[in-house]
Amino acid sequence: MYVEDNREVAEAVAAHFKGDARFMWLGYLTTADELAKRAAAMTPDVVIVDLDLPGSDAFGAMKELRQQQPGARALVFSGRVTSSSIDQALEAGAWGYVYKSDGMDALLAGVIDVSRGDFILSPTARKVYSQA
Amino acid sequence: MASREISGFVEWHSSTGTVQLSREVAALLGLPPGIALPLRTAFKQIARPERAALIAAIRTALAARDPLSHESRFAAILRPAGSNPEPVTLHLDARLHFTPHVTPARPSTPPINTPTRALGAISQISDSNCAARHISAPQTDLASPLHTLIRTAPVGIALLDESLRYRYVNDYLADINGLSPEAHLGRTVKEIVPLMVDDIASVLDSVLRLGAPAENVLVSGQTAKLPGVDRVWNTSWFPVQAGPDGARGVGIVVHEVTKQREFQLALRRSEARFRALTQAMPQLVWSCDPDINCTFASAQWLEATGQSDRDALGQGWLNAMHPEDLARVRRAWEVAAQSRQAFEADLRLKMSDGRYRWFLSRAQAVISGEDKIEYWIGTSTDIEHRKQAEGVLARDNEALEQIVADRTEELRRFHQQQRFSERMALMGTLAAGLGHDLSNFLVPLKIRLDLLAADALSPDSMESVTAIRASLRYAQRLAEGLRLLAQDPAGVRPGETTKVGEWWAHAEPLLSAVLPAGAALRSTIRDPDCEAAISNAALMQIAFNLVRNSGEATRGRRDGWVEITIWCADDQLFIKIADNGRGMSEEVLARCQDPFFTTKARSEATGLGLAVVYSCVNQVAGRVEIRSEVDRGTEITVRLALAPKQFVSAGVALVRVADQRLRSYVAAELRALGCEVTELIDDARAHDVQVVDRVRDATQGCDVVVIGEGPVVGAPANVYAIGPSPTHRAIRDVLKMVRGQT
Repeated sequence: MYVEDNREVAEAVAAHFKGDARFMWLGYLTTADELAKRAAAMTPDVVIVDLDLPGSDAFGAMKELRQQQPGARALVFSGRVTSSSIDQALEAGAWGYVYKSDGMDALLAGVIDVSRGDFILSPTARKVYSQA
Repeated sequence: MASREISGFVEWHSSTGTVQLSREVAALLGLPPGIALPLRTAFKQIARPERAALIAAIRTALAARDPLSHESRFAAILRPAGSNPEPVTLHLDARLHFTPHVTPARPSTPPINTPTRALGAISQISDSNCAARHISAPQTDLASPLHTLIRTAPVGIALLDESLRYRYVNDYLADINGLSPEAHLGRTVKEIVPLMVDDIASVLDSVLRLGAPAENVLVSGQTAKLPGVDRVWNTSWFPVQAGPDGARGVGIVVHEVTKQREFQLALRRSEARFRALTQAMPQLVWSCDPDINCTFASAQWLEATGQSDRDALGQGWLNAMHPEDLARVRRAWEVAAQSRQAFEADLRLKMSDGRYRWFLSRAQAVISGEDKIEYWIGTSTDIEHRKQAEGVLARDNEALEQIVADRTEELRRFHQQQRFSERMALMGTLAAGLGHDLSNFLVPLKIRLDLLAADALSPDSMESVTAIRASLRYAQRLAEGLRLLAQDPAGVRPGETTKVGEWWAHAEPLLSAVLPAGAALRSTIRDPDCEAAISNAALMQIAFNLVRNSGEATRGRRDGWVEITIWCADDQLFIKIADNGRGMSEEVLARCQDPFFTTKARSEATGLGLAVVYSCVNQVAGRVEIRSEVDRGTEITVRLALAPKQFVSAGVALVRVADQRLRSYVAAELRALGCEVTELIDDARAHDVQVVDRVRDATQGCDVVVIGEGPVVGAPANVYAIGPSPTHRAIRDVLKMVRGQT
């Protein structure tokens, strides 16, 4: 499950996941307004979340998701990477942080790791965070 | 020589210009008495010089209009007329007394002091016969007309005998003394004017003993007429030969000058007050005539200017004035004279020490009844201190105006720079947004391309995909470069490091883009694995600014180039940026790191480029070296410290945290440090020593142990507790300590 306001990105990511037999693609939302509610209905293992979303705050939505659907693990997939944004994401309950420019491979690996219960930071995110 | 008695009177009529002679005078001159005769005819018997003197004396006396000043002594040589064929020449020592008789005032004739006729008495006082008659004869024996004349004359006349007893006193003198004429006769001077006798004793003695007249002797004192009132008289004393027996006497003519004397004294007092006032005043006081000739200069003037009284008078005082002020002062004086206004001018006067001081000079004209300026009286006040203060004030004002102008210019430049900075900030924001949006735009492209590449494509299609991927990577690097450039170098967290190779991949497209057309970017990255102790953003800012400056220096050259070389040596990262541009003069080189210094137009540059480079480099304790040569180019080398090696050797780590996400996070971070990590799910609380011991037992052989509970009393140094509900910041702090240990 994916929350992304940029439809081109969302569709491209969807195409990737749909074409990969290891995953079951549940769909994507363009806002985080009803993330917890939709997650409750669709019970995803991993929810990929973009941070810069219109409407509800992505961090607040992740906190709500963690409280209401602890089984649905949030993984941030963002074009923004700063130690502050990583801090906020982890505080909000994210299991990992993938920088978009790190590519699709990083995202796929992240989803797999998170679904297994492992914490993940993509290379750029780790570098930024470790230097903070 | 026989002596003859000659005495008589003449009467002059101004309306006809003629005189009438008394019988005695007429007989003397051989003319009929009582006939009006022209002056020259009446006195034709008098030799010409004496006659001219006599006529002049009469005219002078009449012109003077003051009856008290009509005394005029003259000597004449007469040629008596008569039967004697031999002319007789006599030496006369006569006194002429004129009494102007004033025409009674009429409504149409305002002057009351214009004489229309005058009476004159002539007495041959050197003739003993005449004197003897006066001395020996009783008061009433005098010839009636002459007696009337003398008795009523407005001057005091008296005759004393040798024993200084009054033989004759006219009414005027008797009135002065407060006694009747008769009361004087036979009494001594001491008896009549006892208070004044001491003053006149020496005069009387001189007249009687030496026979020398004493004229214009001022006598003052009180008389019985006005006791208690001091009066002054002008007296003349002359010897009188009294007949053949040689009896001698003293003739007296008394003219009261009390009022004149009082006026004179008042004038003197006034003058004394004026002089005292001028001396008491701090100002220099002076007066001058309408032609600016000094007529008076006070002691202060003389002392201040060092001029003597003689130096100052006339045009001399102008020598004390500053030559540059003279023309202006004269013009001001002319204006004041024409307008009848007070004169006022600031002028410089040369002091006695040779230095000039400023004075404020003011003068008031004294105007005559005919509206003519009689003279100017004025003062000069020292205003040197005021002038100096004005000068200081003027200089202060000038300095203040300059400061205001400088500040205004500074403010204008600041506003210009601020506008430019705002524009640059806007451009930065735009670059950041562009980088972000470009990245977002490239993500789906890249994903789609990956999907496409996964399909079985023809070699041509695969070649196209590869080319597109290369372009995408370039665009991605450019976007990343923009993102880094948009970051504020000062805003990054301390301790951030940059791997040169990764950084260069993002920086190169942007640095190429910043060069002007025709300029080539050459690069040599010798040690891409070097990691510098500086943030990506700061390094990007340094490189961007230096490459941009170098590129601008080559603008206009067809073969312009900018070369960037990066290498590591001696635990330092060297970044050298060289160009073949214009180079810098020594003056520009000395100032190039000053903020806001620029050789470009303000609309093109802020002058902050190199200053920002220095700021970024100084912040990480680096160095900047510049070498430049005009028309040859510039070479700038930046030295930066290498990042400390954070991880030396891999260790064994145990993470025992109940929360799976946190445990996984900590484990991931420790693995990133190179640790071999074992994760334990343990809910046991570790508050006591037993628990610690169990922990220690369980972690035997581990280099690092991170547990979820704490604090742990007595735990080994390698055991770190992050608490039951740690924040990520707390975890990060623990990881920092772990890094420090490893």
